[in-house]
Amino acid sequence: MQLIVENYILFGNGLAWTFGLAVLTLVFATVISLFVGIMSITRNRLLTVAARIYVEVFRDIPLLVSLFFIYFGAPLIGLPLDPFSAAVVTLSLWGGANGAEIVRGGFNAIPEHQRTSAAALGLKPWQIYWYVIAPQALLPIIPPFTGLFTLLVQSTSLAALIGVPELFRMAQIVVERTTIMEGYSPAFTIFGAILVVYYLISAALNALTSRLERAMQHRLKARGAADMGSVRRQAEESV
Amino acid sequence: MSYQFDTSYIWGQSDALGAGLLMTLKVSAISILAAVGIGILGAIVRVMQVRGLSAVVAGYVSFIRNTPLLVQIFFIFYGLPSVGIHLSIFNSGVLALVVWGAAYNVENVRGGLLAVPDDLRDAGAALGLKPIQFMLLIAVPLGVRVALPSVLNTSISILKNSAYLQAIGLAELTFVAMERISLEFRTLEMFAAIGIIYLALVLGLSIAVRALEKRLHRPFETA
Amino acid sequence: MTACASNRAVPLIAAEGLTKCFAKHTALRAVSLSVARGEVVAVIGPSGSGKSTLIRCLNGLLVPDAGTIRIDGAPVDMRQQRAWRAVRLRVGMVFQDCSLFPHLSVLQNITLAPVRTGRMRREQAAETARNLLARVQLADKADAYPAQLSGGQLQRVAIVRALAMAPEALLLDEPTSALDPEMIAEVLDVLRTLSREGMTMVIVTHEIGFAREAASRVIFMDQAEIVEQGAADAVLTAPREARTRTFLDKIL
Repeated sequence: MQLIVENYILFGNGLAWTFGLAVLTLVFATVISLFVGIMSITRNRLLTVAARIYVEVFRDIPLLVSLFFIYFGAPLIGLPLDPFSAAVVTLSLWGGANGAEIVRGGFNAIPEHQRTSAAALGLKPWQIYWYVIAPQALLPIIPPFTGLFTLLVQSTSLAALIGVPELFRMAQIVVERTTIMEGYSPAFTIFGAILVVYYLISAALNALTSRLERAMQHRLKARGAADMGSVRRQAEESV
Repeated sequence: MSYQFDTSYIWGQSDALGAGLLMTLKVSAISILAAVGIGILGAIVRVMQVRGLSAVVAGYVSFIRNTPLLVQIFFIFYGLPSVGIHLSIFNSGVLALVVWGAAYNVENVRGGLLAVPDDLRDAGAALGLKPIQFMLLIAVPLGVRVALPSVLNTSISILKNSAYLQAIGLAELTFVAMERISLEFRTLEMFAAIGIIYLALVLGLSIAVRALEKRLHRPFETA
Repeated sequence: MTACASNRAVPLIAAEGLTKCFAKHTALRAVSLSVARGEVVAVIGPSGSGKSTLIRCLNGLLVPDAGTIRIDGAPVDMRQQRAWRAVRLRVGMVFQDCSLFPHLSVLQNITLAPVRTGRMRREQAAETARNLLARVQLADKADAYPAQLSGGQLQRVAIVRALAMAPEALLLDEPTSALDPEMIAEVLDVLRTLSREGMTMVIVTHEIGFAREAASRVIFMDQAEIVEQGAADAVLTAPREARTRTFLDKIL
């Protein structure tokens, strides 16, 4: 405990970097998710195939390998990235690939008759998506997105391995320094404490998103939306 | 661009990569199997609401799912020795992956068990089966089938996340590749090689499990 | 109580003052019922009248809030799951939607309980199962899976599954109401045979014709109570209560 107090500046800085990483990543990943997710449900074959390849590659290759690849590989194509940028780029692309799958699952779970009956009313395709499909698809994908967000926040810890001075990197530094200078390893306490911090961040994030979900549920219910159970289940399965 | 991609370099590294791949497969296979087993046990404890134990399992699941695997790995490998638990790199890696994967599998399998219809529970009770007999003979075989897609996802994640173990020095695929890169700087070749290997492993595992799923579902369409 | 059951020695099932409430709604209000060995009791009544609740209370699938149950004269300790399990080993049950276990073959569905509850050894259970299947004309379906059978076949298997435990009585909860009309007959045939052989049965049913011909006693329930009971002919052709008459008029 004393170690944490002594090194509070280090940990505070680390926490700030972690938050910076997390916020940027969550924003970019969400944008990419929506963009690629919608790309993959268009009828344009080129777009869907491109989306498919992107999603498959980033989902199937370990995040750590992607991170190393982007960090160590970028300079080779004349585009050197500092550790923080490399981490933001990788985490965003990875989160985007997983999020796109969730978005796709959410849209695909909307029963076909919703589309047909909207079309029968004379709505244009974009109107069908904007007014009929999207509002229904959005609510059920919130829980799986919460899961993805939690995972993304946790994954910011990987940035430590390429030298971003975020929370986990700071913990490593304190552990190493204490081991060398004091002659004993505080790894149990320090890493244990870091785990608890991450847990609290996740808990806060979960509370926030479940509040968002309730608010949206409320609004949708007011608009007379039907039961979302099956849609939600399908969206969750795609994670 | 001055970088020359050299395919023959990759073939020259096949021994090292093969050894790394073998280690990845070994650590993943053990972890996946153990995580499924413990996941099923934990799900049973949760669904049957075993007094005391159920809350412990719920807390474990929540903690593991809401903290980074990488920090868990460091906690186990560097932290446990100071409380007298000394594990090799390999055992630390397996323990970390099992503890992590099992937490997800508890939830996966629990979902499957909850999907077993109440009618079947009544039927089992009416036949004089004890709750634990119903659980093991009816609910688990049915629930695991239902949970199979999500268990597959978790298993694939275990395989991918075994790459994290390079950070504590386990000589698995990613570790081998990074080591070679630091010595010989054939960065793109190495990443291409392990990227393709991971893609093949993940796709192969999904195909294998889809086949298994089909077999398990053949006798019945319901559930 | 009518004279019907009370002048026999000890009733196989004797329920006294059974009451069951769900949240604010009373599903069973102080219902008493006694069933003698060899008796076939048909329970009829509108949906929501408490018929299913009644027979589910007899083997503890629902635990009554109040009342007593005696099996063969011995009172059941209704708070003990073990006591209920002992009841269920003596009193079998068949459900509306058959509820066979989908991952087990017909034979495995039938032998599961006898083997696992220690009644029989595996080979003996399999032999019993095959004999029983032959009696309901399903000998060739022993290795089929539930998904491959028709509704009527499923329900006959469900009956065999209950019989394989060699029960002293059977509870049947609307065994034909989930079936297509053409399959109802094959299930009723099996039940008729059982009743001729002296199997004690309590059947919740909408098949008035079947009740008239196979039941030794008919019970009419409405609004959580037994309104009228007596010999099948008496209740079904000359009901004493106005509510019974209204119900029969509506469904006949």
